[in-house]
Amino acid sequence: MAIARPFLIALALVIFVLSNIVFFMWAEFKISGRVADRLGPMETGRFHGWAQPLADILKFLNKEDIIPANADKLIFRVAPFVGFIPVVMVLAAIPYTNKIFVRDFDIAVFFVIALSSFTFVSMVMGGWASGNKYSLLGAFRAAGMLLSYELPLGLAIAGVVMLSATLSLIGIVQHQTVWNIVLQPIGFLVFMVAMQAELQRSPFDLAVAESELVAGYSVEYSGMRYAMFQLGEFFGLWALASMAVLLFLGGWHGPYLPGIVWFFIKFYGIFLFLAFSRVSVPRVRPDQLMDLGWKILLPSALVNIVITATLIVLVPHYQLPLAISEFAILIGALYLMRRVLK
Amino acid sequence: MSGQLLAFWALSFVILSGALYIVTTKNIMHAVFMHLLTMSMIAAIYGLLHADFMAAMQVLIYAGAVTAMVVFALMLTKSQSRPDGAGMAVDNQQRGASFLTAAGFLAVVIYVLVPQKWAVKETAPIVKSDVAAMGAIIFKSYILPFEIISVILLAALIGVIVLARKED
Amino acid sequence: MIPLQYYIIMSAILFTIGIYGVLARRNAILVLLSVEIMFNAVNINFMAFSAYITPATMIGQIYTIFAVASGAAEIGIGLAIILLIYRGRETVNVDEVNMLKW
Repeated sequence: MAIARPFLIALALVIFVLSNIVFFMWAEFKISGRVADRLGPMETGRFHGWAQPLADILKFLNKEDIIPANADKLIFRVAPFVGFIPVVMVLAAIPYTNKIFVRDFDIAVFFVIALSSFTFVSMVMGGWASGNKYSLLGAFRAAGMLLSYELPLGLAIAGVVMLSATLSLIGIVQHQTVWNIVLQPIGFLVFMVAMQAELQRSPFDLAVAESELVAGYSVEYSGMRYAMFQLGEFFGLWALASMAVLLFLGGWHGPYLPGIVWFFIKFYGIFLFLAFSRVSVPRVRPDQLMDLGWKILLPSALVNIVITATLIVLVPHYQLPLAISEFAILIGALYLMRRVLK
Repeated sequence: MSGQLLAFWALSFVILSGALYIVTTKNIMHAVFMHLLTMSMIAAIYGLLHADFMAAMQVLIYAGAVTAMVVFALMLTKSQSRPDGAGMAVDNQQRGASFLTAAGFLAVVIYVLVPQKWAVKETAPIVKSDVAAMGAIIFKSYILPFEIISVILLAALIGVIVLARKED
Repeated sequence: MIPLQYYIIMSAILFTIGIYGVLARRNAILVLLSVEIMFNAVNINFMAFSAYITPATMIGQIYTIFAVASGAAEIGIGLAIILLIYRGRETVNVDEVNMLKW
């Protein structure tokens, strides 16, 4: 029994996350439908099409696993696993409350960032091994994008890590008497934008842009392997949205309700934000993407780090000055940007 | 045989056979992806040595950064050799001599190292990974090397941009 | 507990494989990958010694951080040079880049 325990915990965790992901899929169908003035799925499972994602998954499982003649067979087969397994491993590092967690890693933040770099590799592997021009183009768009946005993502987190002086996610949450979103508004904005790019979601989905590249790196994939790429994206969403909650929104802290409820309220808030930004913002062009990453997000993240570090060192009670200066700079920068863009 | 030892044997097997594959395969892209696997397994070896931070760093740098750079470089250049082995060989004519050199080196190293008695601490390597202590050591005792390495990285960054950009 | 010798021998074999790759490969990118293998063999050594002999001061780990950083710089510059050679000479084979003679 003692040997089976870790496996049972892992199984329970994955089933819990998977059932949430099924709900995500349904919610996204419904939200994007409503925003486009449609109803979304209504038939499957009678009540507002609740079983549509399950039906989709079953469809994927039943489809034939086609491997193109031109493909590099081995790498083509392995690629989805290379992306999927590390993203599932990330779940081990995410705490939900200070009681409910799998393991309190010393380096949890770093662990999550490091494992998420496998996503890029799986895309390049899949795109290259398919032996298809569209796949290769999609893979390289994805590669360029993930590389340029990993940097601002990491630097936005660095501000939080400096404030709490630990890399453990539980430690970071326990340190937040004031939520970090108040102390680090610039970092939070950078994180939210870079997160959508890392997840390849709609304003930044040019690697799988249907209208240009058919389906990017996953053109040639079908059945299970295609579903694995998609599921990997949803697991990534789970990981990064939880990171946003834990790093910036105070994790399980909140009045009256128990911690776990607060965690999921915040989590679904982030999810709603992602779902709405997906349907309301048009896709960016590759050059705009690079401009945004390197000319706006990276300098903002660096400014955030410099302000945070300076105030932590120079001012004993740095919280109020930090919040004021960050908000002042943020509002000033947004105002300037509006003037320039007009 | 303890679990740790078993893990060590398995990891060593994957690392060494992966490395052998990298230096012998005809398909360059396969070599790059095998390099990724080998480096991730080396990260697992660091995990076995209770150096979690270094394991994560190994994955981040070798899986993320180095693989990306090598793949981009591969796509920007054209090799005269084909993946199926046709065209020009990826190896040169000195395979025999290289093998002898390498084998000689290995023989000497093993001859010198194996009889050595190392002053192994009895507690090792059960010491838990401790990032805070490591940070303190770096920023107190090794602050000068740290600054120098950042200057080197900056110099490398600028140098790479200057080298790789097209003259207009 | 795994004996320290195991790590040393393993990294020695890894280093040897790297040497073979550097000497026998013609494609510059493969040479660079072999150099990376050698680098990592050395790092394994540092890490093992750090864990077994100086666990408290972590000298080996800190040395490895610096080694990895300079290794990253090295592979970046190496690839940039390869790109430059390719632009000028249309080849990535190191034995065709023989303008500089002794």
